[in-house]
Amino acid sequence: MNAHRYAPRAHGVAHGLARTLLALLAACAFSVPGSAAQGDGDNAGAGAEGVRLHDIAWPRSFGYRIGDTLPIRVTLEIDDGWVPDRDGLPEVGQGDRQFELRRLDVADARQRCARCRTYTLEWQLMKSVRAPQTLQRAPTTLRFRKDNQVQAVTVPAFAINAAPLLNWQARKDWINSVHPGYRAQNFDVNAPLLRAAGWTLTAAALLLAGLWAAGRLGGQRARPFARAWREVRALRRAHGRQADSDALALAFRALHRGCNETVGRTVFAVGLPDFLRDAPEFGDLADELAAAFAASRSMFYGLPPNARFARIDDLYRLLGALRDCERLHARRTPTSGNAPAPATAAVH
Amino acid sequence: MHSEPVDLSAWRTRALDFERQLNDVLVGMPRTVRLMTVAVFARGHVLLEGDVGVGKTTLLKAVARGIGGAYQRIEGTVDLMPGDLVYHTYVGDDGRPRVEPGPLIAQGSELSVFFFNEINRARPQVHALLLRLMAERTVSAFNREYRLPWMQVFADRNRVEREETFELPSAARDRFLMEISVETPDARDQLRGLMFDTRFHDADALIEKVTPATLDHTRLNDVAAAIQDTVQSSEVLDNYGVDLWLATRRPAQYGVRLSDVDIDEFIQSGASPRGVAMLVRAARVQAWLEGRDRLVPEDLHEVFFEAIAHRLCLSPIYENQRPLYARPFVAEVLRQIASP
Repeated sequence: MNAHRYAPRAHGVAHGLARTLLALLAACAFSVPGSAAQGDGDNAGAGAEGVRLHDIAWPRSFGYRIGDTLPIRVTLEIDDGWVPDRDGLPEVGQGDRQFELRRLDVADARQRCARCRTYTLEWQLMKSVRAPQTLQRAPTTLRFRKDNQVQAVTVPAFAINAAPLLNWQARKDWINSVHPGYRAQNFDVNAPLLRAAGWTLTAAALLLAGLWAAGRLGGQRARPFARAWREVRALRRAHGRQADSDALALAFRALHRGCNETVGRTVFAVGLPDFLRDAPEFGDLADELAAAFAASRSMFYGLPPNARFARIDDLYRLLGALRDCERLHARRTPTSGNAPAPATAAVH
Repeated sequence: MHSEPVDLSAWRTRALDFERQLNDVLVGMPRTVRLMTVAVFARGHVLLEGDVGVGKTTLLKAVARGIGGAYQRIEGTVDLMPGDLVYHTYVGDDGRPRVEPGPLIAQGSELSVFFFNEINRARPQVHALLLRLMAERTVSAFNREYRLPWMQVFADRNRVEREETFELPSAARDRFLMEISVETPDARDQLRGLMFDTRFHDADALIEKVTPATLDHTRLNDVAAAIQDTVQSSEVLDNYGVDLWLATRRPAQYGVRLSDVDIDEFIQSGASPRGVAMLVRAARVQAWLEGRDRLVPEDLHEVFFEAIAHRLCLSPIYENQRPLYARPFVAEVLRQIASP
């Protein structure tokens, strides 16, 4: 599409006089009043040679505020040899107190008809109103010439409703700033910042997925026995099922950490009843827990050896059962994810 | 001094019998009695604290009767001077002045229980004498040094009245193995018994029921040494004990928190090395009384508050409200410090 823009231009006094005389002559000779958009002149009739109005695309008639623009697209069917007369088109910057022409573009419109051209007059509302008000724009004349023939086309007057500006005082009021004709900015998906943000989001999503898979995300972190079970599973893998006493000690420590973090305090053997009172979901495993604690005391404090829980597999099974109880309890009571603060200090 | 080997098993039986007899005398105070028993076999001095008429004196008289040996008691007053503990003067029948040994040395080395009632009413000069007495178990008088090898000091501190009192300096407090709070029992039937059971109205008759010298006071030092040698600790428990100690010194580092308390400003100084050594000494006795020859964390817990709380130096703003903060602090230390 070929587009031409008419820029403002300076003109002298003599030039202006000549233009005025020509306009008067043309007005006397050819003008025919019309009530709508119409082609004026002796060739304006259907089938006559010259410039004929094809159609006008009007902007909406409401919801304007100062600074808004109103593009009026006038499509004319222009015969060969007809060109805009000198000073036959309004100049950019021209206007009245209410509207000012901000832009005048011309483009071929062969999709409309073979000789069609579209003139886009973009008026800008320059008046700020204190209350909703209807504003009138006077008719605009477009004048064309071929040799000594002059023909004018009048774009009729139009009216719009204007509204006062509103203060936008807070982000939450942003919706008030939206009005008819509001256009969001284009989203440039190729912008480097957006691409970087996209990669960052992807990496974050992968990280979250990894944490979720590793059981270290959100509510999973509030499942101390699940963590203890994973620790002991890792110990089994590293040391084998016949793990040495060091690995067994680490497994016992994992069990104790699980108990401590479950109730938010250090749990000793004598405190098991209190532990089970505070965490009744493990009640079915009370005997196993007591036996494990007794075995732990034997291992760590030199008490007579305990036959039970002498292998890491025994602890692995107990922690698995505790983990299952914990998970079941968490499903039944979703708020149980808010576990009490763990006893963290000096966990050996 | 005896040198025969100590049969700890037989002594444990005697100790539990001693404890049972005390529990017959003092209704509803099994923990207090246990702590007193621990103190007797740890050979440590005890600071008693409690309201008036809760049975402190009865408890001490019963303990003294069960231990055997001589018992002496002195009342702390604002005009009490150190000399009053060592000698007293009077005018004899012949009108001449007389100087006689005071309560500390009247019985010589046979003194086994020395009860200082309302110690905080005595002046700092008296506290200073007591400091040496507790540390060295000796006192100088009449140009000689008296040795009191079996003496245990039991001091009482009145916590209700504060007028004309002199707070014990931290050095003197640190000499006490434990500070034991003697409380009225809570259980309603026990309160009813104390109120209506005539058996409890005559404290002297109650004390008479305790078999004299159930424990031979002259053997207690040997028994105590044997207990300390026999009951063993472990590396894990040693580490746990050190963590407990450090948590009293640097609570914030160990995650110890108290509501409405700036924990960084709470402690001026934590437990002393002597304090934690006494803690372990008492814990070993507790383990022995429980029939074990190995220490477990519960032994430390059982005596931790009584052995440690009175050694903590709190910031002045909290010191005035020590009863309000000391027990929650110690409880929080035990809650936060973990051990297998």
